[in-house]
Amino acid sequence: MICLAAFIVFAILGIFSATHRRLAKQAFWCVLRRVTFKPCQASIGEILKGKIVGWLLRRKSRWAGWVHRYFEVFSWIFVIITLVSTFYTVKGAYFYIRYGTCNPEHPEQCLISTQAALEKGVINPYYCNDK
Amino acid sequence: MVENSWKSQFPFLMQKKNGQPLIYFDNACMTPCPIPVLEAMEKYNKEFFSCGGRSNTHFGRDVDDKVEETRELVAKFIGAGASQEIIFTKNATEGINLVARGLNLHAGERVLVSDREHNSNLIVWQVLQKERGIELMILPSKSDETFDLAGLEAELQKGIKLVSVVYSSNLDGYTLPVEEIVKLARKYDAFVMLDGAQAVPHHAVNVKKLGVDFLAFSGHKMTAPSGIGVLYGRLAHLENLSSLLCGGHSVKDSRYNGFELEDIPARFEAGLQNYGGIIGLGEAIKFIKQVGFDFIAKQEFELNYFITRELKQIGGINFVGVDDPKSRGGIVNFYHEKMDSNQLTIFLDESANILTRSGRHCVHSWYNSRGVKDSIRISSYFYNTIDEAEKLISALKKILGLV
Ligand SMILES: Cc1ncc(COP(=O)(O)O)c(C=O)c1O
Repeated sequence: MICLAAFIVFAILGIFSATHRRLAKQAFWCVLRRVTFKPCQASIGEILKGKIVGWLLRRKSRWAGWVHRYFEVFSWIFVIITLVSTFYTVKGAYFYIRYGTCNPEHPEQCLISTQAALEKGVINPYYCNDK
Repeated sequence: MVENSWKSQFPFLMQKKNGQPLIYFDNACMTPCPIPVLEAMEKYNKEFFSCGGRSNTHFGRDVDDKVEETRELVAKFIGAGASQEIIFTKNATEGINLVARGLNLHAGERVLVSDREHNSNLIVWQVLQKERGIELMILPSKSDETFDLAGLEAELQKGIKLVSVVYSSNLDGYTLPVEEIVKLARKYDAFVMLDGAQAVPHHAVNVKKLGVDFLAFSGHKMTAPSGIGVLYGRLAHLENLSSLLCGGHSVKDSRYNGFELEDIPARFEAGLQNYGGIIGLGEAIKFIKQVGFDFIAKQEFELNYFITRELKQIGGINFVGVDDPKSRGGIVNFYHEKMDSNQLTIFLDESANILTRSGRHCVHSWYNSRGVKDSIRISSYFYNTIDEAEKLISALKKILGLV
């Protein structure tokens, strides 16, 4: 699961940096389980786990043991949170492009609503679509 | 325990990460260069950068002088009879390949290696087995992982052309009984080649006294830069050895229908050489002589003894190779029953800035034959201190406390 989490994070960071694009590629092959690591080579999962748990160990955090033991569970939670927030981001972006607000039902709650959308008031996209 | 100040001579080792000093325990893989080596290479690159062996400028002559000076230094360092017996290579692997291919072994001729060879002294023989039909004998270690001299004699009696074994193993630091091996090989008229990659940096080697025919080693495990190695060969054998590479510098003259080979060793050193690396190697040898092999051995043993003793107190640890720290030079190799070795190495790096090595250490065959997945290797050198070893043990305890 950590491979999927890594892929999502690195794919986003990869938009801005070549190093992360390389890591995203590694994580992608890892997701597809197509990667055949040599015995001497650590997988991207081990490297990420090492970085996170290593950081916690350096801070003498009691979380180090927990994260080490339940790393797979933490990875799942991370992936689910990332997928859910990605879904809402994409949905918001779609509404914004289409209606000028990321929340057509309550445009005043959307920080980036256009003036026009705010002036027009609530637009129900489903209602509009039905038309 | 004698503390030492050698570490301050190595800029690489003086780095910090997250406020933690670097602790380097991967010396069996590569050693950093000390200031005199770095300065000598910088001087070459800045002040007399030139082609060796062919340039008639004063810079070119300076390079030639330095190269020949280093050749003599190397010859004396390993007790060779003459400096022509020293061939500069890229690394130990190239030296071993040069002998393996240059001896022109025929189908049915038998080569014996030990069961703890680095891939550098195994794969080339397996390739020759396929290409030329030579026979490869792999001599099993005794149950305590030491070398089986009786087994060697039994094989020699059946006829062996070359015994090619590791001098000191990168697996566990074990030094093979090379004097006895050479004596036995002589008795049965076999050649002996030693892979000295882990021996030459750690203890005094005298090829003439040993009576060995070939010895290969690399610079990057003895404070010289990477990309420079040495093959020693007895002059009489070098006369009959074919080159691995041929081209510029390896011939005196060439025509459209032939060529005249250079003298030894130039005929084996085709193409422009790694002059900066050769100069760095010369300085590294001077540096190691200054440190002294007595000090190196003492420091490595005390570190090994301490680390082994402390590791034995941590549960779940299995040691790789011979048991006695006295026989293991600077190497402690182990695996933990519950924690993956690669993961352990990364944790040590990320949490404590301690560099070690995990994997199969290029001795895959040994791991496969024993069913061991991999291990973590701690390899020390003269600049490591007991304080560093204590930090290593404390970090290991913390990490292994996670499982
Ligand atoms: C025992 C031994 N032989 C051969 C080699 C290969 O050396 P190089 O990489 O310099 O060719 C090594 C390197 O780790 C080694 O430890």
